Amino acid sequence: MGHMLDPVVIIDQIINGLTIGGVYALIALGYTLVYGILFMINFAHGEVYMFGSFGGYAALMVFVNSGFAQRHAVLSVIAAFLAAMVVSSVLGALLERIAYRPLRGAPRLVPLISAIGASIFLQNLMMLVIKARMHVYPDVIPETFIEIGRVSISYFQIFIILSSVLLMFGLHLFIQKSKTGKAMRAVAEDRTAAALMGVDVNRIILITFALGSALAGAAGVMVGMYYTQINHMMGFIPGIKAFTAAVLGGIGNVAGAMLGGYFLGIVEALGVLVMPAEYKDVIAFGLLVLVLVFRPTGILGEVVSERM
Amino acid sequence: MRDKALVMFIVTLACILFARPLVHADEWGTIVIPRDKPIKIGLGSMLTGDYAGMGIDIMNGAEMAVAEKGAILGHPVVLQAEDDGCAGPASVAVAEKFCNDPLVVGLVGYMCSGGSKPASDIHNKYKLVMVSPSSTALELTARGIPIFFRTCWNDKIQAGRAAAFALSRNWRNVAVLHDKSDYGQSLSEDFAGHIESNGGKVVASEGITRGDKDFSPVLTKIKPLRPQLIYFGGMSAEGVLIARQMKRTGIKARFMSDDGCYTEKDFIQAGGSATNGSFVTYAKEPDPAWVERFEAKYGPRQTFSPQAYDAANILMRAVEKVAGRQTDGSLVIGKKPLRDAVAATEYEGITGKIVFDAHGDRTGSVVVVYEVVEEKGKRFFKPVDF
Repeated sequence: MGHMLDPVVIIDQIINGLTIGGVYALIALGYTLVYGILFMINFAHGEVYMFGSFGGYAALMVFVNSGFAQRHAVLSVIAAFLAAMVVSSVLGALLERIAYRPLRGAPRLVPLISAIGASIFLQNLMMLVIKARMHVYPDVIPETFIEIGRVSISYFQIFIILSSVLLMFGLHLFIQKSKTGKAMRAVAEDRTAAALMGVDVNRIILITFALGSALAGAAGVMVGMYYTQINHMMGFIPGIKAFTAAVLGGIGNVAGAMLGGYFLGIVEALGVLVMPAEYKDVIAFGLLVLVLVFRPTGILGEVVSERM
Repeated sequence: MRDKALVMFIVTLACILFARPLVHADEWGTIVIPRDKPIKIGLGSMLTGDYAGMGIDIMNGAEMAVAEKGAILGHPVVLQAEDDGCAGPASVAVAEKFCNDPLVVGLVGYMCSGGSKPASDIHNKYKLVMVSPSSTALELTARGIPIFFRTCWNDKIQAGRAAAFALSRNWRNVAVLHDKSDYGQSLSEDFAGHIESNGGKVVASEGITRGDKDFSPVLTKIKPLRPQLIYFGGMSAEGVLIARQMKRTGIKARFMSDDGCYTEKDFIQAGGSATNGSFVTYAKEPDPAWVERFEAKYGPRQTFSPQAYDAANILMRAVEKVAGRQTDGSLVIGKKPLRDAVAATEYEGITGKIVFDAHGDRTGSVVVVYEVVEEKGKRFFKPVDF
């Protein structure tokens, strides 16, 4: 066990945790944004992430087959990100329009069931499209490492950590500074009052879905490039883990979703050091149970009942 | 009171000892294929999902054998493939379906040991013979189930061979990983046992979850233990990611796995250069003339299509041998004679001579160690002598 407490191992695990945690955080933001505005859990969000990943994959394959990716690797990766974000935000907006908006006045269980239905539908749709096979992201940029002392870190990891932080920072600025962001906060606080003040509530809700979905699409490409394998079921476990992260941080709270994502990633990675690796998923869901029992509002949670 | 209990006990014991049913030749029942109806060969393998590449390859192998045969005693033969998802519950459902289909005479499958194990209980209940091309778990042939046969090897042979190879390279500090399946776990435990009983040391033994994509935490945990080899019992989807992420974690150890990773598409190609220098175990290469015929029809072969081809042929030969043609054009096939005909197989297949031992295992199985090498821009599995 002496090896386990080696600081290098712990630093390595924290880097591993930050990498996957950034992905969890990006997906968790979609849950939390939607919850903040509609008080509903969009359980099809994992599928939005999966579609984004395939959108990026399709774009990359076009570039690889045309030879463009071999000449302009960085450009193709950026284009793949954009493609993924477009695909998933369109899908997110469609989901809102088709599966949730008609049910907006209904009891809270109804949109939840609709979300689960949408999730199953989207999984099966993608299964038919990809013929239920695993797909492998092409290696557009060869992976290289930098060594800092005894710690080695991959450029991919740095890239994922930095870009997830940047995206979240951008989201924060958008919500706090832009006019649309202000309207989003107004709708979250009181939908009726916002409507009376001239805010187009339907438009704002649509934008919220699209925004959260775009972040999930970006996470989809990161996972595709880093872990390489994607399939139609890939949204399920990360979806639930990101939901856990959102609850952990305090659902409805943007900073909480980020914190929850990183926290979950790091706890999973460090947890493997003290218990068998096969319990990795147990850590995440055990945490979910603990939070729901002892602090249902999460680490940074707002007291939702007061707002309603 | 004690006496009464004792009497009851003796009576019960006597009932168990003497009340054995008498064994008749037709005790297992018969299959009747009516006139103008096809003979069905069932197939259970994973056709959708992460290991579908391997499952479809198995289906193609069996399909090729059935298509080449065409008909038995005037009845067309068809293959009915079902997706069993490589897991227990789905395999049991598929087994129930096949066992209750009056036209199914036998089955090629199941693909995964975790599916074959519960499904073989169902098959044993209905006495429908099954020949698995790929279920290698040791216990499948150790449970006294008379209707189970396999054209592959068992994991005792595979793990022993892998361990002997590791020891021949003087890799005495090894870490083992497995995917918690009947297949992967028993294989890795067997491997670890061989290493330890030959003076080696197993520095870590960890389970991972099928379908997970991030193994860096467990690899980071293993790294400071400095194993010379990481042995993985499991399938290609996870195996290839472990090989890739070993490089990322900075582990200098070699990677070794089993037949689950012997697939060009899902291991060598999906892994990129990170899989160069990895080792896998698999059978001897099948007849090259057959491979040429197969690849012309279905594209590159992956893993178990030759074993599936042989399995289907064994079943069809047995049916041919025991089927009795009635005057009305129907076929009557006794389930017991059919099973016995499979058991008595002596067949020169494309994977070599096939004879089964009393447990349904193939005698004289040879497992070969392959290394992923890159030569002249081509990356492939190359047999390693040791």
